[in-house]
Amino acid sequence: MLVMDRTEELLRQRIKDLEKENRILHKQLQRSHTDRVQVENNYIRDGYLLQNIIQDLETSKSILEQRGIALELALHDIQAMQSKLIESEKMSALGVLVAGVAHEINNPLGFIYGNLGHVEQYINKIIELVHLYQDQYNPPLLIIQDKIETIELDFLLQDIPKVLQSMGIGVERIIEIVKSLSNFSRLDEAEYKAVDLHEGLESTLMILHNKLNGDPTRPKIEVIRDYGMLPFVECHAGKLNQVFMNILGNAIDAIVEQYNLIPDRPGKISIETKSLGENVYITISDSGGGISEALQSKLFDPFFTTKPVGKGTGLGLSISYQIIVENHRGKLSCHSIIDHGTTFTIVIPISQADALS
Amino acid sequence: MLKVTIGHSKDPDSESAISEIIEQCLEQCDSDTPDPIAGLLLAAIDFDHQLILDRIHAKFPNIALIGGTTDGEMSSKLQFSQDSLVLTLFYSDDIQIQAGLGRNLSHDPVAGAAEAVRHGKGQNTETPKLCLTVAEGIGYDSNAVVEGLKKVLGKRFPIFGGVSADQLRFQKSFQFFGREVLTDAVTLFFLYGDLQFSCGIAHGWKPIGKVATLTEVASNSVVKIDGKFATDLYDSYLQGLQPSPEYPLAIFEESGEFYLRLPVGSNRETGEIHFLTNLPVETQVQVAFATREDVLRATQDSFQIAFDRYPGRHPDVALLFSCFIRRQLLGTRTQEECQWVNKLSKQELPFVGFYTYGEIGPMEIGGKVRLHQETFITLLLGTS
Ligand SMILES: Nc1ncnc2c1ncn2[C@@H]1O[C@H](COP(=O)(O)OP(=O)(O)OP(=O)(O)O)[C@@H](O)[C@H]1O
Ligand SMILES: [Mg+2]
Repeated sequence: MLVMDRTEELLRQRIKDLEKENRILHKQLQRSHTDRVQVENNYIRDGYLLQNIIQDLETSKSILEQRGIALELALHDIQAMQSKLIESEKMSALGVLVAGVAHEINNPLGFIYGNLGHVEQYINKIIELVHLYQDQYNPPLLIIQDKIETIELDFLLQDIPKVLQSMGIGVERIIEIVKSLSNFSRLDEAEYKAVDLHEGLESTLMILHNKLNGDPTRPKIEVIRDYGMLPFVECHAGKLNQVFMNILGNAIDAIVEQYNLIPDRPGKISIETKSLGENVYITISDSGGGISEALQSKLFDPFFTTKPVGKGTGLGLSISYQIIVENHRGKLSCHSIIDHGTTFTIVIPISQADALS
Repeated sequence: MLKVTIGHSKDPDSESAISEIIEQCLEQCDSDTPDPIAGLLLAAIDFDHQLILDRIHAKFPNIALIGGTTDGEMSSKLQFSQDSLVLTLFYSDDIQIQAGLGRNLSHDPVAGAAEAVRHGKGQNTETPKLCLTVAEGIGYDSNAVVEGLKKVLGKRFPIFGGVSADQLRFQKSFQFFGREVLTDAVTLFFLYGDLQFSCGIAHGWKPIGKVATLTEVASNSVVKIDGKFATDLYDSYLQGLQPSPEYPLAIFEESGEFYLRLPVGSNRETGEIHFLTNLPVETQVQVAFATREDVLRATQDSFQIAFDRYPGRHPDVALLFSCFIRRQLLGTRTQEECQWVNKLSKQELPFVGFYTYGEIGPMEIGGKVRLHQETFITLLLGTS
């Protein structure tokens, strides 16, 4: 009987334990299902998130890359601008120096030029005197005869007038150059003044003389002037000269480049000026290689250049455009036929007051 | 001296579970263990809580008891388990524990918090060392109750705890106070006496993707982000799936530091995203992401920091508050949180804790207390 009770009790306990076990397992089963659903959803979300974050990163990467390129370009532009500024800084410093030197040279040059006439007169008189001596003391003393022979008096008397003449020509040329130099820098004229544009063109050509003249590797460039009657034009002469310099410089570059390609083509620059109504027209044409239509639209953009790095900055024409259009209310246009040449036309009002109204 | 005994049962039957637990607690006492002074009860939502409280009261009529429902329980007894019941009893002759209760949080969380503090302090004019709290976690701005406690106790008074949970149903959770089962309430313990303690907190989430600004908020929800539907921000990452709490918003403070707020739902029609707290308008946010490894590394950090900072010789118990999302994200690896605590404490430290809808604590003792989400908070307590 006692044994039976004991077994029964053990059995009851066992059933109780099993019931508990069963309850726990049942609960856990319920749990694991909801948990599994959650985990699966999460898995999908993680996938999407990662995918989109990667996309985000890629976009920001390409944005950064683009920005990097833009910055590099900007840096390059700034560097070019800087060197151009340094150059123009140097130019204006040089201009001051040149104008100063020109001014200083002018006075002594005046003495020389002014006295050259006197020297000629005096020498002619001395020559006359020498001839008179030769007539009156014939034959001369032996010692004088010897001297006449050693100094080759006959040749000397013959050559002196020629020497004097070429000295005169030389001095005149110096005077012309000095005048061009001070004319080109035109430091005295910061404001708008009525000037003769031909003078500006000429002094610019004078400065470019060397480049136009050619060298053993290429022939001289012919400059054809077709100057009309121009009234004095109210302008900022120094700045206009800068424009002439840019356009003529480009023309020379184009001709030289063309010569390097087709050597037998004659290099030629024509400058035509005329006055029509309230404006003056200055047309500068070259026989260079011309500009393709595609490039013509970019010509006046800052930094547009086809020249090798270090040679061109691409600012020349954009500055010229600014000077003509903004500073003088004029027009600057380009007409070009590929392989035939290029023509730049500058139009400026004769009077700035008229242009304003 | 501070001693704890822990009873932990997985039995879904309330009657058997509580008897098993009481038995376990008694087994851990010897002849010179004094009577317990307080109890912390953590329970899954499906138990018969009233029955459990009655049984505890019958056995230990004189203890102060607080607690609440959770989304997962942990202890040094059973490690991590779900649908379980844990009772921790505190024994001490030099530490006093007083309990307080505040109600009607959804009506006025700040007033409720003040009421709990008043109740908890009672006639005691001494300043408590520490506040341990379990508050309602659903149906109102749970952040406000923490702010309410700070308002009466001071910004830097050490408050630790978590808000109660209901296994992701987001309907109703319960708090326990003495023999009462409550909802919409805050319960707390004030600890007095020669107490040593330290804390550590970490989460593991990293903000990723686009930085956006909260441009319109309503109570417990975000209406507009960057002037557009709030859900758009998540849509651009989750391709139209519900914003889910594994991808919380990192809320940036002026200092550049951030805390996390987890979305618990959304409304496709209005583009609103729902949270468990209010969010500050005009702040910068970013969606945050964590892998299981990140989460577990944070668990280790949290415990290690608390352990390194402990001012005494050896703590007597560790209290752990871990965000329910950590459990959800870790899945079968959730148990590793407990395993790390075991490992880092060299298996010697009794610990108890729960998965909560919001962890409460400062970054360090004396630091600013806040309601956190997605974190793991370690609180070490001892007397030597
Ligand atoms: N007369 C021309 N014939 C052919 N191409 C020209 C002519 N003038 C300008 N160009 C083209 O226009 C570009 C821009 O000219 P621009 O004067 O603005 O810059 P650049 O001469 O290249 O550099 P910079 O003048 O700054 O030293 C030149 O690089 C060249 O390709
Ligand atoms: Mg140029």
